Amino acid sequence: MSTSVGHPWRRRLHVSAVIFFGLLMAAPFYWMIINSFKSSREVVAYPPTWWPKEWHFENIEAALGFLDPSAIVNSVIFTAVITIVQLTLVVMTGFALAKMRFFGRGPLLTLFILTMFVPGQVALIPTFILIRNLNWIDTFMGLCIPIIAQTSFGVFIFRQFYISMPNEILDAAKIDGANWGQVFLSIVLPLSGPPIAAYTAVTVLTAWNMYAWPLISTTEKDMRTLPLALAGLGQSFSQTPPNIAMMAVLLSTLPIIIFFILCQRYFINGLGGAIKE
Amino acid sequence: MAAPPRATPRRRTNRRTDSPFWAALFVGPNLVLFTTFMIIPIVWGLGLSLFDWNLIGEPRFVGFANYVDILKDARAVNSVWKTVYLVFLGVVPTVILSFLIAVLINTNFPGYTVFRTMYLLPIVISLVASAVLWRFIYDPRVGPIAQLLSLFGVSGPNWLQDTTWAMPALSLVIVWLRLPLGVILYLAALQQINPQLLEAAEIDGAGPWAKLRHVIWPNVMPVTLLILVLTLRGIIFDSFDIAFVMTKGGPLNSTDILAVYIYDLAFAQLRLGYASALSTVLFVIVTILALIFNPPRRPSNGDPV
Repeated sequence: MSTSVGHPWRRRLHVSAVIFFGLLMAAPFYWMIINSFKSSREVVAYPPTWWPKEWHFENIEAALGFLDPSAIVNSVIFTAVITIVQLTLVVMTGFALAKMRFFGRGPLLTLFILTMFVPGQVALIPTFILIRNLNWIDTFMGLCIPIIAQTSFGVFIFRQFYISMPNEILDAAKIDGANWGQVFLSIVLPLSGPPIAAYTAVTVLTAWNMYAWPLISTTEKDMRTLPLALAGLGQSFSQTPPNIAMMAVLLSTLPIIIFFILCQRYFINGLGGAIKE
Repeated sequence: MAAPPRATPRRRTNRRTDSPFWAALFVGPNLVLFTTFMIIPIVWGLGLSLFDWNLIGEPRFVGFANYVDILKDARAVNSVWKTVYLVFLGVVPTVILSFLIAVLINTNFPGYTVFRTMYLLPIVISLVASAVLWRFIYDPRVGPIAQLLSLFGVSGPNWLQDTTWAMPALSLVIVWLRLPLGVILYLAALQQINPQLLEAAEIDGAGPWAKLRHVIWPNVMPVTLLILVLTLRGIIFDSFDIAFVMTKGGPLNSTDILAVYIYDLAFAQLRLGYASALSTVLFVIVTILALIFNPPRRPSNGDPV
């Protein structure tokens, strides 16, 4: 697979380039990590240091104070609820649109596909008015439901997956008298592991990092999610010392970095798999 | 499609329609939510753009006056151009760099996966977190970029406070964040190229550049189009977080993209009708750009085989 067959020096040059540009891509993470452990004096010292003189682990506690525990809890609930509910909805709808025959299936599919390219801003203002009229501002309902409803992309992905599932598998069970519910639970779901893993990985990432909707649909401090708490730190480094701000960024990103490294295969298969048609 | 008469008690496998009960159960909950919180708001937004409303009083129908006002509003016109400028600064480097990186790292050596992870890592960091991080990186005094430039005797600008440099500075963050997806998609495409094609090209005497230009690039073209559209969509959707946290549209409106202006109009000035009209304009711009990049193909919605 290598493109640098031939001379050993060309091979060595190639590997060096891979390493160099990889380090360059990861350099902002390096800067974040070293600065989050510097002292408040060292982090603003000129010229900047490329390695902390001392590692200040007490910055962790200070950063957690800025992030406040409620934001962390809210982010966990927000991400979990959205991922679980949305996944359930899109798997079932995607399956129905691929395998069931019912009135209006074609137009329904078109509806889902068409809305994939409508920018969020078009629906944002009316969704805000709707949530406000429902008295859902500053509630988990208001925070989660409009995001859960963004199912078009997932419906399309799962519909494409189930289209390629052979009918014979389903028919065999149906001849034995199983209904759609039984077929779905006992045959279809056990075969859906890979796309479910990939979709879960991507949705967790998106929900954990979401900013605009929580910003609009919440006003109280207790309802903030992590990105909202973080955004406050970015406005001015005179209010929050940069070492504490960097530590806050690191702490809020760490769970998702670990999650990514553990599930890298699913991300790559899931995202890369989208083109194999 | 008419429902067939319920004739056979024993259900047969190649009937025309299924029992509506199961379809309703599988599609219904999603359809209710999707209609209420997606379809209705989209249609409502288009309708609202014909009204003048401040959230408190009665909405007043003004026809297309909001759209006429956009043309007279210098800040709106500016923000349309800033949006197109950001898309251009973001999309072109993302596509080219992710292709080059994918070709570069489509290899293997001991410890390779560690370095591949480095290339993909920006996919995990949130837009807000990276905005905070990059504000610090761009710091004109203690930031690493300023420090590296000073080694060469160059004194860089105050990136985010400079009307010329603020937008390229934002776009660099967006490109950095958007590269991993492009790399993943290109890697998948590269691994599908038939190795015999490359061997044949080598036998014909093609060098690395000729192979890249005449064999690899044409073979990944469909993916390039996909990445163009995904990046375009991503930049339009994501740019708000980055611009709002890093520059708030400044300095002097030099990063005042549509998403930031719409937010300001809707949620600070409470001019909901006018903000909706601008959202519609944004929608039209995205659609036009998407069509330019990727002419629509009919989705395969024939009967399942």
